[in-house]
Amino acid sequence: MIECSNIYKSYGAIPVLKGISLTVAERETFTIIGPNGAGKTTLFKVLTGEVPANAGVVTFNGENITRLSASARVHRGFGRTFQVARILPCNSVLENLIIALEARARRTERGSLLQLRPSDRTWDDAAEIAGRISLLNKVDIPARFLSHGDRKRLELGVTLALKPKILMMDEPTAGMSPGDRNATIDMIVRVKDEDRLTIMLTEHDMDVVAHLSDRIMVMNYGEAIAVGTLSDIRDNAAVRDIYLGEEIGDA
Amino acid sequence: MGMQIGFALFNGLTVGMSIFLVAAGITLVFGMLKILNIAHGSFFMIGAYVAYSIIGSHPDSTLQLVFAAILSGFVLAGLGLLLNASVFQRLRNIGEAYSLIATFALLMICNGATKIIWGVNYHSVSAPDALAGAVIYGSFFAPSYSLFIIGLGVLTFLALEIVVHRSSVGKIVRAIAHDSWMANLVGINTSRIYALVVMAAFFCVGMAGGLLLPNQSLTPLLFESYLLQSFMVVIIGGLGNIRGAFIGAIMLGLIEGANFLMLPGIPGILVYVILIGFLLWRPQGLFPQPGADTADRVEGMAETEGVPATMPPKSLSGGIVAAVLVVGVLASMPFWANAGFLFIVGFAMVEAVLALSWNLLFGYAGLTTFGHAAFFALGAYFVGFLLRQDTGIPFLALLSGSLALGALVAFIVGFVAIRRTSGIALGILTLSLGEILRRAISYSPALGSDDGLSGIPRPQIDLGPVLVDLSSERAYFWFLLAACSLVALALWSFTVGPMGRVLIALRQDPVRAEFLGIDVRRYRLLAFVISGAVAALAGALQAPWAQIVTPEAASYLHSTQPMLNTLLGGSGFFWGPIVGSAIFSGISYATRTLAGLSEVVSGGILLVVVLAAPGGVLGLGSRFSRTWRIGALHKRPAVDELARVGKQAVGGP
Amino acid sequence: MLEVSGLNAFYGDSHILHGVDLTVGSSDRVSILGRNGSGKTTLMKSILNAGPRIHGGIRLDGTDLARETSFRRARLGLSLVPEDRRIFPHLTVTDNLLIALAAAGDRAGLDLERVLDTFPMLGPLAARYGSQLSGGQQQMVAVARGVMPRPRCLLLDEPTEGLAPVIVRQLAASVVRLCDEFKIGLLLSEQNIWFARFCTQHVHIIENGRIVFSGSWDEFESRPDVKHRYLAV
Repeated sequence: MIECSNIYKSYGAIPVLKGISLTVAERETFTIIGPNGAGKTTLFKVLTGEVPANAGVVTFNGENITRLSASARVHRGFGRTFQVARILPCNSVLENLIIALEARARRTERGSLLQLRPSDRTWDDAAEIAGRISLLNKVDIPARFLSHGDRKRLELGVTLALKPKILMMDEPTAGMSPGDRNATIDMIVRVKDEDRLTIMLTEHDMDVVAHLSDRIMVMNYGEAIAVGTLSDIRDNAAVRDIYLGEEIGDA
Repeated sequence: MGMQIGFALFNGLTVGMSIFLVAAGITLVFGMLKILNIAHGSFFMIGAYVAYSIIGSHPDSTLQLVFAAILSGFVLAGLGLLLNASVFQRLRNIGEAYSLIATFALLMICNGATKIIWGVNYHSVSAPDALAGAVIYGSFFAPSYSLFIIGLGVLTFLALEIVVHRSSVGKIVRAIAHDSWMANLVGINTSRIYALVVMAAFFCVGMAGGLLLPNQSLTPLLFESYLLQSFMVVIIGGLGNIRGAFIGAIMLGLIEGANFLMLPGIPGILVYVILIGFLLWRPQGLFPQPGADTADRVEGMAETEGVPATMPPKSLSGGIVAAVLVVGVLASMPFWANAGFLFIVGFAMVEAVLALSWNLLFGYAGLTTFGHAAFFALGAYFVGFLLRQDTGIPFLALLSGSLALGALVAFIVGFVAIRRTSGIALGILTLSLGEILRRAISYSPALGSDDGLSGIPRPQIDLGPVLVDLSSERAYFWFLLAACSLVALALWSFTVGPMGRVLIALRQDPVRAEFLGIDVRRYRLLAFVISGAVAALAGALQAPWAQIVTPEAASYLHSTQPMLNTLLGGSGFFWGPIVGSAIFSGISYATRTLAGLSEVVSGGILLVVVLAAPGGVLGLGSRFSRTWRIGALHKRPAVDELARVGKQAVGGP
Repeated sequence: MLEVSGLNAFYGDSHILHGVDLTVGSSDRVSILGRNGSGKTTLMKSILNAGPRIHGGIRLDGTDLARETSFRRARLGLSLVPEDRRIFPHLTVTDNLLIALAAAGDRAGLDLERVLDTFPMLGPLAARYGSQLSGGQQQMVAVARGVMPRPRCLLLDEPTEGLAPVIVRQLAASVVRLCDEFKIGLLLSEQNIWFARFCTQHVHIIENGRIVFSGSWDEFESRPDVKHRYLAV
């Protein structure tokens, strides 16, 4: 579904990605792990079009999208969530969802210019998504007053409103309490199933990684150290040394 | 010819060094506080007036001039200390646009105070005898005073260069400039250093005011001659960089010299053209400073800001009643208001439309521009010129033409500007474009040069069976009211509709908007085009009302009027600009008798609004009503959550 | 020496720390472990009054610091090495260290040579600018800058983040040596358990802004459930 080869990226003189290649199949959940500063977020930015790569090719469903802007990639089916949830802070939960729904609808149909309020269908759809992300009781609250976990849920809802084919999630459970974290895992599993999604994510929490991932890629210093299932990764000596085995360190 | 070139370049160099003496302070303050102090030119002017008060028109000796300049420097340093504590330190935590506007408020206060204290008359100061002559070397001839200025410029540069880049104090200063948070954590008393740097910058500008006094016409307009040029210097050099400012000043001086040789008819235009090219090529300047690239900072919103409503209210009845009431009162005015007041109200309505169009960029699309008056002038001159020619083109067609013209120009400007710049660079770019237009007009005889177009006839509108004659004051006032109301209504519908929601999304978080599939650049350009078109229409409506258009319509001072109106009323509300225009017009009407007072009062109010109530007048109102609403909600357990949230929002118990 | 009592910290509307109590005795070395987002960094910044809005008591050697600004706290003997290091990029390594010494006011600081000796890696880099250093070198400079004024208590915020294992080991050795030699207390926030155990005697675990476990490393070892619940990878 999504494929990239030989991605290089540097910020100034500092190389961040040194020739990353990967392939994610349809309906797969593919997780990227690695220590802080390994280049996970930068790789995400390159894949989603937020920053251009210095070299390399990204293809999506066979189409070369390397030069496309982020919004053009969203039109092709990308959905993206961030480490720190990006939502519209001054708008209510419902308005956030409506703006997303309208942004999607605008690509398929021309609404009447005289219709100022969102259509009834948009309101219903927004309420339905609010239900899916368990925020139905908070629809009128401005997003900036939501708790951290609720913000991340709202961001997921806003992204789902775009009906994406692939969901790119940067640390979906960062900074969450264990309860919130488990709820988020369940929600991701559920929406993946319901919306037939392909998912790429980065994550620190190994519980989350173990629960969600079909395949895992381990990055360190801008390079891919290993790719495989959880047990492949656990058995890999290089990975143990740099990541999971950090605690054993000097032993 | 060679002589002439040499002389032009030497003159240019003198100009460049005088500019540097002012620009050094701007760049010092920006380097430390990340505040672009628009009022700096006014402080220069105050420095000049203080020195003038000390030495009078004929300084006896060079020493006396220098002594007065130093004294003036101390006075200004004291002023700087005061302003640092009362204004600058507070500006560090608010959005960039707000801090620019706050320093603009300072500019108004300073200029108004100058007029009140020293009057509006012209003074001139002669150079002391020792500097009045010239140095002649072979065929080269240089006025001593010019050499004195160049020497001072170089000396000031060397002194700053050594202090900032070589001394241990400089290391601390630069550590704070790079990372004030960490500097504080290693034990540096950052607030004291801030105060010292601001005082140093003000000392420099006060001294420059005194030293540059000779050969200068001392009027309350003095601030202007240095303001824009010193901005260019610091922007070309890279904000916050002394070396950059020095090189920028030399470049500017040489460009001025070249302008004098190549385009003697339009002085000062070349530098704007080159500045625009420069901004598009290298928006961060020659020597970008870390932290000076404000593009990222503008992208996010300050905590204190709100956004306008994204949807029409559920019930329109309240709004309709209010609108009918306001329009009704305005419509009745020709029957009871005196002619002078009616005239001001007409202006206020046009200014309100201009401010609405500016807030479409600022409050909705998140773009801060400083050249909005250029579009206004475009429309005003377009309609004024054609009405005077008596072409027979129907007036409504002229108005549509001005809309189209504004849209076209905005498209061309926006297409390039939005692609290449944002933040301060966009602000200065639009400001320069406005200034180019103003200069181009004031040197076009066909457009009446500096005097503008006067005696513009008021038109008739031929509606087939009915011929509406707008030539009377009363008739045109009603037409103006109808037109402005219609434009406001159209803009309002636009902003509460789906397009408004798109703009508000990208205003709050352009990255999120991009990942909603919204092409951020395209929608910003759309907002730019609509805004430019409406601003041109406002100009077109005003030309027959005032019956005169002057190049001042395009000046940056006029460009700031919509900003002031918007901020005062509240940029987070669609109707904010209208409220602000009404209040400002009221102030200027009430204070019209004393030159300078209106500026002091308007500037003072604006400063208080920016510092204490960034939501504007409407923001204050809604804060109170929210407190009241939350109180009522308390009785309903189902909205506990909202109540808790609301309490935090208003900071109540 | 450093006593934190009932510390609450807020960022805007979010309540990050909930009544944290913590003591670091003279020349004590204490770790705070916790996951990302558990409140470690907020705690470190709160102690220096460098960011969050705070309520609660902070005392250093009996002096109440509650009303003191960051730079006063630094001069009184608290030194924070932030997780993003924050080396002054335009100053040389030497100047980075000297500026901390100059800024510390009356404190009799340490000798530049002796501090540089503790970090064998830094010797040859003394004349380099901060911007020319790698991540590991920057971390060494940040720690060195932190100890220059000979603080009563050094606060290290996740110093091993993003460092290669070999650098982590060097850093651990240097930190322990400095603290021992100059009798500096240490409050360390970490995710790397090996590093924390090597450097400190006591351990606190923080979760959702609350201290959920305190004890010695032996006590920590005897409670695998704690380790699993709050830290497990």
